[in-house]
Amino acid sequence: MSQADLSAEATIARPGTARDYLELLKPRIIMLVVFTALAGLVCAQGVTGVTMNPVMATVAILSVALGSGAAGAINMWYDADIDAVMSRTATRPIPSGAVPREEALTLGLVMSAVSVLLMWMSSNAAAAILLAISIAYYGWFYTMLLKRRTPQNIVIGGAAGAFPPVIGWLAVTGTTPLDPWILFAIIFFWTPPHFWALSLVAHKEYEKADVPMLPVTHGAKATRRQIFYYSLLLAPLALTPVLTGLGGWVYAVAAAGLGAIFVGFSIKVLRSRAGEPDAGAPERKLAMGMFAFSIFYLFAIFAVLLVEHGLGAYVPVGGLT
Amino acid sequence: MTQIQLTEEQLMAQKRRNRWLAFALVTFVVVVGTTTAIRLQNVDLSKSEGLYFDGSMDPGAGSAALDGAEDE
Repeated sequence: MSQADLSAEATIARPGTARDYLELLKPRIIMLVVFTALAGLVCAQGVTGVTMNPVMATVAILSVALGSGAAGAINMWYDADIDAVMSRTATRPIPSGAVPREEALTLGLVMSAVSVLLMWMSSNAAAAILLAISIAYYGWFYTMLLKRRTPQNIVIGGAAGAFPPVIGWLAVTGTTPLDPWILFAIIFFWTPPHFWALSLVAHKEYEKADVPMLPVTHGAKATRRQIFYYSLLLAPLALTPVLTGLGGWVYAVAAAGLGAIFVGFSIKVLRSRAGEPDAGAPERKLAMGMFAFSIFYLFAIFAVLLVEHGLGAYVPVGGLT
Repeated sequence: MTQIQLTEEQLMAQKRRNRWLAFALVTFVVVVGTTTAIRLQNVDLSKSEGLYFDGSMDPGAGSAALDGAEDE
């Protein structure tokens, strides 16, 4: 669908509501981004002993939420043509005609500027610069350059969603030692198996929209194999915070258990025919089950870190710190 | 100039959007005001350190320049 078609549709569409504008910001992604940024911020205070004024910390987290929303709006603006083609995304605010395309872009750009400004005011210039980089990474690098060009779009683009804990840490201390980059790596290696599990179910949609997702370009079998490899990488990687002292006993047990389940899921998916033309409801259910579990996995991993450092439940694993 | 006639539904939607925009603007002003006030409380304006830039990239620059001026 061309931009002219979208404009024509927009003139006869329903008027946009506040809910449409909120949806434009991708609220579910905002929640995950805010949660991981908060974990980075709380862990930084717990590990380094540097404290941040609670009001400033709240504004810093709000900035991350605004930045994530801004990147989401820019993504929706650029992807409006392919969103209109896929049934999963056809009801989004722009293809449904509730929000004019140019308004989405304006909202995204204004929110980007406001989020970076607020981050700078509430914390420091370095955190503000990294926030600006992460918005540009998702809104420009991933959305405009990677997504429609390479099946590695999710792998490289995954870094965009991995920045928040580093930004949270940076906002407190002004530095980025190894620990926040470990959190970055966990999200980075979690993104491909998480997203490819969904794409095993939605690959026909991506094919229709001409988006080179891995199941479209390399087939379902190669995708299932890649999900397995990334899960094998992710599970031990998620244990490295225990080695640096970032994660304590609770974290060690949770990361080991959840990692084992994650790998178990990936083995089930590997052995299945999920994503194949003859795949039925059980295969779809399995792939969606892995997708849902992957969301729970990341929330749980960061929740445990939050509890350990925010609620004083941190008990170091002896001899390793 | 042509006058665009909005329907009742469109007018209501426009009103609601305007209210949200007003809310966002007021929130922005309050947040900027609050963070500025907190920063002002924590900074010694008589020294070379700035209000928003902590000088961490070149920590000794301000004091070194002052020392040089005193020597002369």
